[in-house]
Amino acid sequence: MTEETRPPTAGSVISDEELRSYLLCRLDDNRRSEIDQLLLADNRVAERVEVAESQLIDDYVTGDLGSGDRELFSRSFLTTDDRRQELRLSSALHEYAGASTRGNVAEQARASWFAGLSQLFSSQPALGWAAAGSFAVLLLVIGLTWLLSTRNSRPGPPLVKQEPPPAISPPPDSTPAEIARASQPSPSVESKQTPESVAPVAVVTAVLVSGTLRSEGEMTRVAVPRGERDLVRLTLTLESPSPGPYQVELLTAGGQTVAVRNNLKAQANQTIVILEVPARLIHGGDYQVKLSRRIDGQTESVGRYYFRAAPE
Amino acid sequence: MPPRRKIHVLAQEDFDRLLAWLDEDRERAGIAYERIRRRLVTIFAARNCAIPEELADETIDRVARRVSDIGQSYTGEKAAYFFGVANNVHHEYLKRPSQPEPERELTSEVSDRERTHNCLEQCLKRFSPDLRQMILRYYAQEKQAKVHLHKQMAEELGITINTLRLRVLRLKEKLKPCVDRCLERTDLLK
Repeated sequence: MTEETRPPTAGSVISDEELRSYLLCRLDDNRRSEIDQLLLADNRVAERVEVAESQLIDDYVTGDLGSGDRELFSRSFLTTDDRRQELRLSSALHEYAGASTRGNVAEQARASWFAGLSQLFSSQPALGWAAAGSFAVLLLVIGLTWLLSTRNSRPGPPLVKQEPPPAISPPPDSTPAEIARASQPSPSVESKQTPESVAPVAVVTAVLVSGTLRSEGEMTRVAVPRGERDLVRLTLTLESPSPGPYQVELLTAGGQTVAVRNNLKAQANQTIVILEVPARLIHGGDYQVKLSRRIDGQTESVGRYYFRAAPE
Repeated sequence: MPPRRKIHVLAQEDFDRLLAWLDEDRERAGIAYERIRRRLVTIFAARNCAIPEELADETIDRVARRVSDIGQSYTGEKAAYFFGVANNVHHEYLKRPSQPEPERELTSEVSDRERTHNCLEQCLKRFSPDLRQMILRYYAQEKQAKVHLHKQMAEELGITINTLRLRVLRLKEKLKPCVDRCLERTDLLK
């Protein structure tokens, strides 16, 4: 048996931190070799390594890794199909569980408010009815005041439909930030009725320009609505008009794909490509959009766009 | 269930001999095979190898081809034998001229968040309400809140945190193939 295959010394305890270092490829060769052998031969060690892998992935998903570890995670840990798939699953679980928790909290808040009201009526009915009556009178007064004020006010100009501002061609010497600010008055919010829904759906539109630099002052900010059916519409400006078809991939700053759309056509005289994404997929933080085009079976990168999302 | 295998790399009889060497019972041998393969992949990944799965398969192939020579006479730990061969494979890998990182096709690596969410929702319905609640609760928080929550969950269940993590890991292992199949189905429908 060679030096390399001599089993590690009995009783060598492996800490969780060592296991993490092992997985991130930053352990010294001797200790790494010891753990290699234990991993192959000892089921308990193998189980701990599995748990450590899962824990590392979960910590990456929740942003609990330092920048150094995040770099090692992407470069050295995420090298197998199984790990990439587990990352996808953990990420989905975290987002889904987070959304479920928010829904439950809102429901509980509603339930506790209603329960409080019911208790008031049952324990002190006189007080409850008095409060209800006062509230009704208040509503009546507010309603009458509003009615009278609208009747007495002068008729204003006829209502006009508010059109979205026309696309502005930026002057040739503008910086990307100036172009973005000029062509984006403020993220416009429109409501549209979807056939399936009763409540209007908010659509936030943001215009993005392909950027070579991403810096604090230049990144477009997008306020992301929080409704279940709300949408974020990203208008990607093309540096040179071309029909496409295009593929658009939306990723987090860490490189995790959020959504992909294929076979998109350019619009507005082939100057823009529009990507629409459910708002619930976009959380706070920096995002990048990769735009590419298929030509003769080859994929050609067209541009990268960046924005910073902030929940409303 | 017999393990998956790249039959075109290894002769069937060598593979059968390997399984028989690992265990007389073919089912248990298949489990042992998958376990060894997974651990070898982890080992090569921990050595910062860009192609850990390929190197693990190479290791297993070599052991399989040698079983006919060593099968009856070898008396040591089988894991140690795999380890020795893995070291050789690793040394040869290090001597190779540096290769560009394997290209992963965008389509195969793309994970559409929306579709994954939908599939996750469907697959979670297959769990009992208790298990569904446990896994969702486990993933509901982040940072310090996550640490406190996991501690609380472990106390409620009367287990250690590591045991809790292991239980959640096993749940995810059941969830994963369901989500993968669902995503494949939605891929076909695109």
